[in-house]
This record gives sequence, structure tokens and C-alpha cells, in this order.
Amino acid sequence: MILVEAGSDDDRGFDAKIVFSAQLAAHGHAVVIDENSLPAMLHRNQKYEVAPYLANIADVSISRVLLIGAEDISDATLMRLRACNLADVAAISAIGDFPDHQSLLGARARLAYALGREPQVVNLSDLHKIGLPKASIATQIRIPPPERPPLPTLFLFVPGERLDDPATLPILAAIDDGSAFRLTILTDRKGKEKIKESRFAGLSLLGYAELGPMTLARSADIAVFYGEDTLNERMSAFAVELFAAGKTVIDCTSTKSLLTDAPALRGPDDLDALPDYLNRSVVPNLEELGIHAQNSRWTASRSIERIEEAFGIPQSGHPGTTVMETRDEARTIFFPTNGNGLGHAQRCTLIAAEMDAAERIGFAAYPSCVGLIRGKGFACLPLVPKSVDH
Amino acid sequence: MTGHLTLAYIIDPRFQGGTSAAVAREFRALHDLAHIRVHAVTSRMFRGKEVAPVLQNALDDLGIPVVWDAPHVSADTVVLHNPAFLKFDPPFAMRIFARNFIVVTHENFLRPGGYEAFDAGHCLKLLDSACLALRKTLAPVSSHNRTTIADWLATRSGFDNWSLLDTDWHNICDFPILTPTPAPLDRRGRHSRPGFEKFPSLEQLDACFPEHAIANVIVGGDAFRHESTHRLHWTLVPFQSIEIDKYFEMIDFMVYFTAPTWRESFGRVLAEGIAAGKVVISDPDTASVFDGAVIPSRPAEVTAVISHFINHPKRYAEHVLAAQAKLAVFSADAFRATHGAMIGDLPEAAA
Repeated sequence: MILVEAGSDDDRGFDAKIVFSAQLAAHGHAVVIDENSLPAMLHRNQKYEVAPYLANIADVSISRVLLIGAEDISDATLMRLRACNLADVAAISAIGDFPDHQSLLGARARLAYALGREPQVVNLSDLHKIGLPKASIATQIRIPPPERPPLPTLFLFVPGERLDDPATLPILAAIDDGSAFRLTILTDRKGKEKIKESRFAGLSLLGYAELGPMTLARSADIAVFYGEDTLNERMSAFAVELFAAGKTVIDCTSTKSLLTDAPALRGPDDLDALPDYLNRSVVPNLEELGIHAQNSRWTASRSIERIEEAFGIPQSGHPGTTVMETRDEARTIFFPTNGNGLGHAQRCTLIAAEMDAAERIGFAAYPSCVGLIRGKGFACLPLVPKSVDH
Repeated sequence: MTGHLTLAYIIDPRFQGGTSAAVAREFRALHDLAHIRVHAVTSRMFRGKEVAPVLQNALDDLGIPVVWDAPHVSADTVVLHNPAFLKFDPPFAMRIFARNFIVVTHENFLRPGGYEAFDAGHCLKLLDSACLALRKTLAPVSSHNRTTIADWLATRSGFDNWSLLDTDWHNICDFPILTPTPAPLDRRGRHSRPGFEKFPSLEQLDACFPEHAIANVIVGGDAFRHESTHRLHWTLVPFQSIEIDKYFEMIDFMVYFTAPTWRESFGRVLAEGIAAGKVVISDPDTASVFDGAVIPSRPAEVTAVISHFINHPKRYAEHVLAAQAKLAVFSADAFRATHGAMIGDLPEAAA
């Protein structure tokens, strides 16, 4: 198993571990995150994202340590790695974005002193040959492009503080009302609260940490990023997943951090100019833009195969096979979760009984409903109700 | 007596530890051989640190003013201690003019296995660009340090204008010499700053400091207070929290091993242990600097070595006395004899 670690022992480092672990796992690698590295406070969605990877290191057989963000390794990370007793681990590998040779030497030395053995250290910029958005310390993998739906799905990232401008929400609503896109707004917790309390609460809304970057990338055809700062870890990974999937990324941030070398489009600073820009310049050329992004040298340099090759990690499985589902394999899952769910559960079983391909129908419901649903002949996964820990 | 020859030092006086102590002793040893000027550089490496007290005391005692970040330094001989302090710096603004430019390499250029210890190439290139000198010399501080410098030079191009000094620019060690105990006991210890590089693996530390020893004193073992590494039979003393002579009273054997991925360039703490009348045990590379005064060994063999001396206390005393005699090569007199002549062997400055 590959133990994924991050140089920084803070929330950003932990989030980067989750993102990178998901990417490695989607590429067929067995991945583990040290449960002792859990931060004191974990976002609700992070708990579900990280759960598949968490383990007590003493209980698993580690074949390799892969540490990301090696340009900034904290003493706490070193102390914890030293205590893991990694003497039997085949390889210690570290990736970092090192601004100069001394930084790389310093990182290698720190790991070597703490672990008592020399790590393999790779400079991310050497691996990619072109610079990365500064916020990203995880690396990305390819996923095959899905079949495009009739209406492009537009994911619009808007930081919460941008919504303080009273003109913003009406503009977003106008974009949503237009027939050209299926709009989903990605924002932070502050932004979600603001929208839900407004008269525009009907907008399709996601917290930017609610779904992993790969899941977001499967759903979006176009992503537009607004904001004053460089993109955070998740949004950077989301953008790169989109490039790899042949989709379109538009950089409307004030820093234009994606435009340095990545195949992103420069979008309008003003939100009210966005619909026209999309309709005139982007949508008619969506396919060509996607091909350009997917085939660009920048995107090609960011495949997980590069990391496997750099560290001699045997390839495991085929990219995307554990993740992607074609339309022919689509399944329908019923979630009758309002109230106790009994009434809804019963009505859903009636609907399910009328559907074709009963073998691709499933239920996820509260424990009180499981017996009823299974009695109707459908598979049912019991759900854990929301608790004070959520 | 102060000569007419000018000797300028370039240092970042905020570096701590043995290097500062060595440089401070050097000022005192050479003060009457030449007119000494000290130029300090504000490097990025020691940002936020204060001037090392041992250096400040020496400068105050000798009445040597310090000039910070001078635009140029010129002297018959310019000595720069520890070029590694430039490893984070952009191009060096200072301009150096000298007949003889000596760079004392306090840090090994290579770590065990041949891995670069720091970007020495960057540091030397900065100095090359900044300095106009008839002769540019790298001065290793020990035989082991010399090996790392020579191996580094052998695998790099562009540094042919640097020569390697024939004699080591050793740390001046003039610690008080104490009489060895006639009845050594299995009381073990080590002292260092707390960095990971200073310590071997936990398994090796267990071999060095076992439960059956009467005492296991580890000064600077701050990292081992964690519950997963804490040993009840170890006395962990935080770094710089105890007088060094008090620590030496607690032990008869100094057992000093580092991370396998790092080595001392000189090992001043080992000379300190010898002078304090202790049998000092270390790895072969580190021990080689001291020509038999330090016993080369491995962690797994330490208990056998110690048992031998406990069972043969006369041999303990004989070894310590012989080892202390060998410290004479690191004395201030030896330093003056070796390097004072080089510094003094220059045309006198024009009146």
C-alpha cells in the first residue's frame, strides 16, 4: 500500500492528501492515510472522502511512502514519520515544487535525517516542465472524457465575498434562467449561506469541498473561476482534471493564476459579461477547445504515469476503470430520506417496479425503511442518519 | 604584538554551536599576529538570530569592532568562515579584494552516500563573482571534511580556480583537561543540539543506552520525550539547560552516533568529551578525525567496548590520557604554528 503524506501538517496539507489519494486510488493504486494525521477539525464532507483511506499504519503493510508538498515539510510531519518505523518500507518518495536547487537539497536532507535513509526526491516543475498554479500541491491524472449531454453543464466558482455585491446574485440567476447552460454554483460556506437566505435559493449549489475534484470534473463541461486569490487545492485539482478530460476552463480570477502556462481561457472580469462571452466564444467551439486542452503539452505532463515513471511505481489497473461508468451502465438509486422515509420509500418502490432494468435499481434509505424496501425485492443500503457529529 | 599585515574575516556571526566557538578561539589565537578586522554579513540563513554570545564575548574582549554588510572588504588575507551561510542568498553584494582568500568549509559538501549536503556550487559561485584574489583556497576543517570537499570537486567543473589547502583548518580546541576517573562505571551520555541529523535510529539509541546501564544521560534529546519514544531509563536533558561540566560529572563514557545520513565535519563535542576525561565512542568516519583518540565502533558493539574498560580501569585511564595528548594538534599553539605562518608569509602592507 502507498502511504500518502503531505509536507505541511495543517488543514491544507491534509486536504491535499485526500485529493491526491483519490486520484491515485482511481488509477488503481492501494492507498492509505495515517489516521494519526487527522486534524482536530474535519469538514463533514472530508470525513466521507477520507474514510476509505484512513488506517492505523501499524496494521497495514506499507510498500511506499509518497509525500507531496515536500517544499515545505513541517517538524510535526517529520516527527510522525519517524515514529512510524518505516525501516521495512521499500521506498520513500517525495514530490515538491522547489524554487531552487538548495530547496530540493534541504528537503531531501530533512527527510534523510528524520528517517535515517535517503528518499527519492522529484521536483514537480521538472516532472511537469511547466509551472503549476501555486495553490496546487497534489498532482493529477487523466480520465477519459464522458459523452457530452445536450446542454453544457456550467460550474461557476464564486467565492463568498464576491456575493456581498448585491448585483452578483441577480446576474447568476439570469445565467441560470437562460436556456444555454445547466448552471451549478460552486462556493464556500459563506457563499452557500448567503444564497440559501436569498430569494435565489433555488440556484443549483455546491460547496467547493462537498464533492471531490474528480467527481466535479465528471459532471462539468465548462468551469469558470472567479476570485481575488489564487485557486485553492481542490479547485486547482478540479481545473486540471477538466483539462485532462477535454473540458473547458475559463479563468476570470483577478490573479489569472491559471493562465501562466495552462490551457485555460481568459474570461471577462465582469460577471455580467460572462453569458455573452460563453455564448459567442465558448459554446460554439466547445469541442475544439476541449481537444486543445486535452492534447496540450501542459496537460500531457500531468499524468499519473509521469509520477509512476519517476519513482518506479508499478502501474496498477487502468486509468479510470474503477471510476467511469458509461451511459449503458447507468444505475438508478432511490434516496427516500424525507422524514422517516416510510411514505416516500413505499411510493418509490412502486415507481421502481414500473422501471425497466430492475437489476440496475437500488435504494439507500434509513434503517426503518430497509425491511420494507427489501421486502419489495430491491437491494437497499442502510443510511446513517444525520447526527450532532455531522 | 600586532603586525602590519591585514587579516579580514567575513562571517555571519549569528551562527550558533561549535563553529562560533571555534571562530571565537581563532580570533583570540591570531589577534597578535595581524591586524584583524571582522566583517559581518546579514545572510538569510540566520534571519532572526542574535550574534552568538561566544563570538560577541571574544570580539568585546579583543576590542574588535564589527562592520555589518560593508560594500567591499580588502585585506592581505581574507578568511570567510562557513560558506554555507550563503546558500539561501541571491548574488552577493559585497566585493572582496585580497591576495589570499581562504574559505573555511565548516560543513561537509557531501553527506554519506555522496549526496549533496547543501548547494555548495551556488555558494562558491557567489564568492567567485564577488572576489578578486591572487589565490582562492578552500580550507577543510578535518580529514573527513577534506574527503567530502575533494570528492565534490572531482565531480564538478568550473571550480578549477579553487585550491585545497594542504593542512586542515581545524577547530581550535583548548578545553580544560580533566583527570580520568580511576574507577569508571557504566554511566553513558551524549550531548548535542536536538536536530534529527544528530541522532541515529531509535533502535540504535537503544543499543547505545540500554536499560542495564547505571546512567544514560542524553542532552538535547528533546524529541524523545514523545510517549512513543520515551525510555524510563534515559535521563533526557533539554538542550542548553545544563552546564556542560555538570553533565560530564554524570557520565564516564560518551557515546556519540548520528543519523546514518549525516556526519560531523569536525566533531567538536567529541574533543570536549576527551578533554573532560571520558572515553569517547563514535562511528569510524567521525572517529577518524581524532587519530585514535575516539574509539571507532558501531551501536551494537558499544556495550562490549564499555564493558572492556570497566573491567580494565587502568586501560580506561591510559586511553583517556593518550587521547588527551592527541588533542594538542587542535590547540591554539598548533593553529598558530600551522596557519599563522601562512598568514604572516605575505609582503608587508605599504606604510
